Amino acid sequence: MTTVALRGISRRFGSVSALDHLDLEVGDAEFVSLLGPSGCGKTTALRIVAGFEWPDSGEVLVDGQDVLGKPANKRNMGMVFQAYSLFPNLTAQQNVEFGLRVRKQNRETRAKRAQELLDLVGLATAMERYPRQLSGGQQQRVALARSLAIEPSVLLLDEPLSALDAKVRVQLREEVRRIQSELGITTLYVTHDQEEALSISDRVAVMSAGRVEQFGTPAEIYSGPRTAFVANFVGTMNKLEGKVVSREDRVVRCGPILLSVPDPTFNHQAGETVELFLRPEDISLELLSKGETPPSGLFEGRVTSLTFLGPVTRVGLATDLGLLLADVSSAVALNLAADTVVAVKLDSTSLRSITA
Amino acid sequence: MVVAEFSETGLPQDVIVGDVTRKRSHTRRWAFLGMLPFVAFITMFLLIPTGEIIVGAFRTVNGAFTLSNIDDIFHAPYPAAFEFSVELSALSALIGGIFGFLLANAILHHGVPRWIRPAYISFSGMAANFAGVPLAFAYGATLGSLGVITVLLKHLGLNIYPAFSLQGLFGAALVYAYFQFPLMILLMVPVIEGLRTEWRESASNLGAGAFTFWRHIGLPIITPSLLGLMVLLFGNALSAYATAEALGISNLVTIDIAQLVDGNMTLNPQAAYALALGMIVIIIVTITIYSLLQRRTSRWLR
Repeated sequence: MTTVALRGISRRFGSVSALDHLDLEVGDAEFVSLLGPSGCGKTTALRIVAGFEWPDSGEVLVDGQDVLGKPANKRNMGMVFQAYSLFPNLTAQQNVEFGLRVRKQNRETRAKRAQELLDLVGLATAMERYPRQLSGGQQQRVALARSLAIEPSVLLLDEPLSALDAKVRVQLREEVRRIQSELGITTLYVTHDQEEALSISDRVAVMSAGRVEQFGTPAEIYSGPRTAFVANFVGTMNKLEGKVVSREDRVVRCGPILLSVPDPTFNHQAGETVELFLRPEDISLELLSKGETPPSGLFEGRVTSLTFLGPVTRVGLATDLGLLLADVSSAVALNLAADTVVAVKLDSTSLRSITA
Repeated sequence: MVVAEFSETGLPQDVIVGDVTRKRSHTRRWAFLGMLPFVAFITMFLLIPTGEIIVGAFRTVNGAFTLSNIDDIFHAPYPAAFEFSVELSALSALIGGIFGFLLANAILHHGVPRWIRPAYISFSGMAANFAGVPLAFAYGATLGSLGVITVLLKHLGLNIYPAFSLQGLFGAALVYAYFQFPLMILLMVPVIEGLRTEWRESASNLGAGAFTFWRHIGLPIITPSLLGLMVLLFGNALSAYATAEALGISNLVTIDIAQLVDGNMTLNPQAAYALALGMIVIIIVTITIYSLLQRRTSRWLR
């Protein structure tokens, strides 16, 4: 059983604050992703846990013990890097065996373990190959096997899939998750790819400017962003600006339209300016005949763009609330064209309010 | 009826193939022009002089074919000169290579203040070219039989002469080290910088300390470059003349060649050609040994 806790971690590089009192808890066998844009401090946080960077203040606890005093080679953590990091002079098998060789395990034990792990990552037939004879995806699999060979207490993954092409990336992230679940190893995963983070993590910490903006399950992050940053960074959001008309009834006026906001976290004073967020999939469209007015509760919109995304098509709409994006089934979108007038319906239960 | 096969670009393939082929052959026809400066350089400064040496080594002064020039280099004093040249070059390459590598690694260490590195590189650039009479004089003034350090040590009760001499193997190697070290540092810094941070960090993450990293990863990766640079140092020392001449070393091949061509009592340019040919053979043998070692140490590169 291994838990990891980062408490009040701060780190500055000159005048730039990379981490600003970062707090994070990772439970035993939990898969936590640090998600954020470039420069938000996620890799710095991971490197501090690994022992390759040191914080200016704060502590890193592994099973309640502060590990900051230990050098990286004494922390027993496995790490997979963003750049290909296999030792080029060693074969795949020798790479996997390296950590065991350092631990003075005998040849048979090393070979057996390397075989098991390369089997686990689906590369049992590539044991004798040198890194330059392996594809990028294969190299990262071997790197994963190598990091697991030492039976690390914590697995650290620093954007390990970012250099791979899209299809391999999806395949490999599922394998990473499968292996992590099988081995029950506490894992900290750094990525800037929201889809990747949401699809494989138990919990996601969305980071911005060295701080955790929100920490929760992928569903909580996706459907209940608590800050404008999270709302804008994770997925696509429509942003509506409005003024609170009634606090009790949770009514907000956006342009000429009054919107009821059932969001239980709604806590704004009347007259306060708020931002409401709504995902494209929470907007539905109804076709209108020529001259027909929208039914009650719906409002008019004019199609400005159509972007085919496979099963759904993203429709750009000019409305009284401004420009909105709506995701509709691609089959339905066949009936739409530029300047088609439609009735727009917002799923108000999905509206989230954040103070502007 | 198929009128024309269309490629991905949407143009009929026959049109594209024709057009591209024409362009390629046109480009290829003039591609050799880019090689011309290199070919001209190699011809003027390597091929013609080498040919001249080879031909001259097998000719008499009158131009007739002879093997006597070659035969001469197997008789005194030349075998001793070759032996000393090779020993001195090998020793200075070995010392320069090892310590140059250690120094290059030291200045790249993350704990070293940033300003040290450019200052050291600039100094190395200057020192690598500080050879010849000034260098010999500097050593003579410090470690010569009447040099400052020699005299100082004598006062302290340590007389390094006659066990040590600047004209001896170790003394001369020490002098040569002055330009071999910096040259090695200049060439070694980019090699060490080529070791990726991820390799060091991966090794550390897997439990390896600095020694284990260098033993299993760092050194095996840079060994082909290290060997190559040591061959370069060997060649650099083998061809050194002015420093040896100023130091007063007499039993060196380059000194012998100079004596054979400079018009004094021992004038014999044809024998000089033969000695130069002997040096070419030594370099070829050295490069062959290097190639064999390099093949063994860089299997992972193939």
